[in-house]
Amino acid sequence: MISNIYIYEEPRCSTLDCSELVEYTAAMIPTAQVESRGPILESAASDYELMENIAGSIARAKIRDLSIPSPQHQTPLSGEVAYERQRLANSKSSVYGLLYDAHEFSRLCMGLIPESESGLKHVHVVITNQLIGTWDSADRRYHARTILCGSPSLISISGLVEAPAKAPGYYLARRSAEALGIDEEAKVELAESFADDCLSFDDPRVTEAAKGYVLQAISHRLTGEAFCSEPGCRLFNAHWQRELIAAQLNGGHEFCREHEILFRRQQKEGKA
Amino acid sequence: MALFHPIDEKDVTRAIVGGFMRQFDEYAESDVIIVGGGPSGLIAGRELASKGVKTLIVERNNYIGGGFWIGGYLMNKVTFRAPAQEVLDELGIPYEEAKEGLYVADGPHACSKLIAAACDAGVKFANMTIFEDVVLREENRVAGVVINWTPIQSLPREITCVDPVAIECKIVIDCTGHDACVLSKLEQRGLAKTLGFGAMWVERSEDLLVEHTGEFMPGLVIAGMAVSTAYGLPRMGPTFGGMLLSGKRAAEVVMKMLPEVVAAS
Repeated sequence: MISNIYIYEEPRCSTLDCSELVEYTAAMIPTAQVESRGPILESAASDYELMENIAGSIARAKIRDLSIPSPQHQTPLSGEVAYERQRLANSKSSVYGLLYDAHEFSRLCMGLIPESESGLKHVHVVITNQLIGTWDSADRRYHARTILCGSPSLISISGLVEAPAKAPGYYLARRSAEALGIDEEAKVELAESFADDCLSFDDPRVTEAAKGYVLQAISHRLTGEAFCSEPGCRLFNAHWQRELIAAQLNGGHEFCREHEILFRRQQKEGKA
Repeated sequence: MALFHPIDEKDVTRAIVGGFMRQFDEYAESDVIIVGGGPSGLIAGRELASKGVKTLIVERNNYIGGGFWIGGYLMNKVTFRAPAQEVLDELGIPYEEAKEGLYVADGPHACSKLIAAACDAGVKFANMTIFEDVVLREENRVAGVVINWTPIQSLPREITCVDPVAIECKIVIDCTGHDACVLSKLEQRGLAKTLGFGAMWVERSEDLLVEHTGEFMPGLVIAGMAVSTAYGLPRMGPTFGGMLLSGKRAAEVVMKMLPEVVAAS
């Protein structure tokens, strides 16, 4: 049984309401004490030596080449470490444009969790604006991810936007625009024309979408399985933006029958 | 009656030679040498010189301005994403709003104004001058550049030996664009490593470029597209806001570095 759930907030995403996530999670898993915490890397900002170590670890986790696995052996340039140090020291600095190895980043976060809060009864969910990716040995390249379930679990807000693919028409239209040298204005219009079918950064729907991913992390701890194959279920592993929106935002029901039973059982245990 | 004052050819020659030699002698040593006279180099130079920093820009072409004269597809309109238009306001460059957050200016007008702003601030130029190598001091600190006339590259070596000269400074800024010439030379010497261009996430490349602008190694700051080459950042489209803000950021970094460099020397 889960006794504690910790949700680490990400202040860089202005539309993410961590308290709403906590409230929703507490309602779904009343047997657990659910609390929100500040950004997991926040402790680094006040400790210079810790900041240097963390900055170096994050820089090492940066993926330079999608076709090369396991960046942990790469030596970061001093400028790359300086960039990460600067971001750690500046809580307002946005985190865009780079992909990080999800497992390396998760290992870094795990090192910051007290031992007293480790173990199967404790679920740590780190919300981050960093885009994370995992290596796929099937096609031998990195893929951006929305969630990595584990200890801790990582939910990437950037991943909500970038990992599930947009409609094929968007990419065709963009390639055409780029080939013709069409300007930035046209690209912005293109993005706006597909806005209803996908999430964007600072999208007001982010909190609602993130609820399902928090439950995926919890489901992973409860059952060993994070994902559901039912497209309308909150636990569906969306590969397309349309699927994400259908599963998290527009579905007629919240869960499939199997997961409805799972979470209803949790709520009954909480009332007992 | 003649229009112009009577002057002999030798007077013209002496005026050119004298003026050039005085400047070259004075700038054999400066505070900052910027390699590359494109938009990032020009704005960095202007920022530094306006604060009293003795600044020389080395540019391999006869003309200054790099790629700032024209936008994409050889069309001479240049675009800027907010908040870069604030720099245009500082420089008095007229622009139009194409769309919220996107501005467009005439390339020739913008580039001319930027060059003039750098000159007015006190930047000096060595154009038609090519960067050949770095000057290194203790612990491989970059302390100057080795230069020659650009046309030398076209001369066959058998004709003559045309040695370069070295000029010194406290800090070098590499603003040579995609080529990252100073960085590449250091990489050839095994003193640095660059990551080349990345292909991901083009929309974020301007943000990343500005955020990564800074000190690459002791004595060397990188700005502009050289930053992308150094850190493997995504390529950018034909938009110049990142160049201007990167140049400003480089100047800020240099201002913080200068007192330490002076104290160390």
